[in-house]
Amino acid sequence: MHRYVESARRLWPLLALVLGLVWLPGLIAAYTEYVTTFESAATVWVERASTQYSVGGANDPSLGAHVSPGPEQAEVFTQLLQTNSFLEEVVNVTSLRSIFAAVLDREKFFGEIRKRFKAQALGTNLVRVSYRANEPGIAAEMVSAALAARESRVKAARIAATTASITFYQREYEIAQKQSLTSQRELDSFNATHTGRLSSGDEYQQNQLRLAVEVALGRLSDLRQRLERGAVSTALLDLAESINFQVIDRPRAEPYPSGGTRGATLVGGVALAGGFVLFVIIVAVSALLNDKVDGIEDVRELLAAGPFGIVPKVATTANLSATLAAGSFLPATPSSASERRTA
Amino acid sequence: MSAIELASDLYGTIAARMHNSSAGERSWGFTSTTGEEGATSVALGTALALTSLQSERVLLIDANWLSPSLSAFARTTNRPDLDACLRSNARLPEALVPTRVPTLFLLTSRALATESPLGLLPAVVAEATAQFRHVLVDLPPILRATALVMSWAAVLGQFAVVVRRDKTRRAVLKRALETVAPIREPVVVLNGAKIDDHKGRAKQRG
Repeated sequence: MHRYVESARRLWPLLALVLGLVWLPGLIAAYTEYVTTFESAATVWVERASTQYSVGGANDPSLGAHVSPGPEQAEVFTQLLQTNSFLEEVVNVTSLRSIFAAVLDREKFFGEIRKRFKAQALGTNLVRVSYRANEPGIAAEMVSAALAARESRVKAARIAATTASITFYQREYEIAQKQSLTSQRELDSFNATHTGRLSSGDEYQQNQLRLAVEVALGRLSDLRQRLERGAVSTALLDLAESINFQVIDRPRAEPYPSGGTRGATLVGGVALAGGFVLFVIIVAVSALLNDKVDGIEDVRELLAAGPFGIVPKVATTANLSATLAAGSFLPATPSSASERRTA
Repeated sequence: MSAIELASDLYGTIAARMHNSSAGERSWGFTSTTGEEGATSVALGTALALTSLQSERVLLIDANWLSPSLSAFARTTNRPDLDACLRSNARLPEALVPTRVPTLFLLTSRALATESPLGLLPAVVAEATAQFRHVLVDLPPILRATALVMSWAAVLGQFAVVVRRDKTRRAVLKRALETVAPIREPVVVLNGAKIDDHKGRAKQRG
């Protein structure tokens, strides 16, 4: 532990610099994230209509896969947000329209929008749709636009689903009507050209033409019934599968920053943790790489008694022996003097 | 500040501990692990501090044949040295070099092509300790002249390994201590310590 503390003390300017470079921008980014985040959300109540007209029954194998409308609609919303056309539709009715028009990289723009949207189920029947913007007002606009875009898409899909079957039967009906008219015309023409008593051959032909007319009228009648039944069943099916989508809390444009706490905490936390991890790594690596004796504790690790003596560091360490020798040794030492003194 | 005042200031505590050593060692060796750690300074400074601490004679032997810097500082010429004493070519009193301090004497050495015979080393050390109150020997680094240092360690009363803060590696110090451990457990002198360490240690003793 002593080695690590000593390493930290020795490297404190570097550590202070590293911490400053990591912590300061991180905290500034966290603060910026907090003060420039304006979140707006809408809470929607979703409910399926009665299932009495729904296709299938108790033996329907897909019955087990049914999920609650809340999570289902949250997932639907999330999937819609993955499409660029939906986002474009949303953006084009908000204040971001002018910015979007000037954007060159649309994918990047949509990606940024996508990150800011969030749809989550709050329960079995509640869905929360939120958007985080950098300016007040935009978030509420985006959420409102997204709800409106979803609504318009659902309506368009309903209309398309209802009219598809009707259109099909309508065309079949028109064809059958033409066939009926043709058959009637042929019968009328035959009757006009064959007045009086008919031969057995003519009688047979007339019967055939009458049969064709009856068949055509029968098909016409059948198609008319199908047309009516199809419209009713489509309406019933639509009724059975439709979702009651009721916005309970409308998105509001908050003038104060909101919704950025989590992001700011994350950014600040990552910066603080990153700085601390760097601090620890630098100190640990430095302590492990520095194998030099640093103080009494290092000596004690090898000799329990510790150092016998400690000589403090002095500024003239490099020439200390020369300084001491110059002050204590004689400049010239004739051997006779030595002999006299030691005799 | 004179050399003695400077030495007393820096090495006075070591000198006092040596002088008042309970075991009564009179001969001390100063070595280092690999060199450049201040063993020569500590030996010379402690010798000077000892002269100011008591009035008896102190002998400083330069036994660092690898780098005889004390002898170089003394600039002696044509004088018998440690090698001559070990070869019986001269008696100890003839080889002593006086200094400005009347009670401090120096026994020089010089770099040699072949090592001096160490057979007479116990006798030389015994003679020195008989004539001087304290005998301090500046030795070469343990890990560079292991056999020589161990020979001296066997005949000296005690010897100290000088380590320099922020210079001596822990692993090297450990190896050096393990090397001489079979002969004698040395003491360690921490050189170039931070002022905090020095004051803390002095406070502990106080």
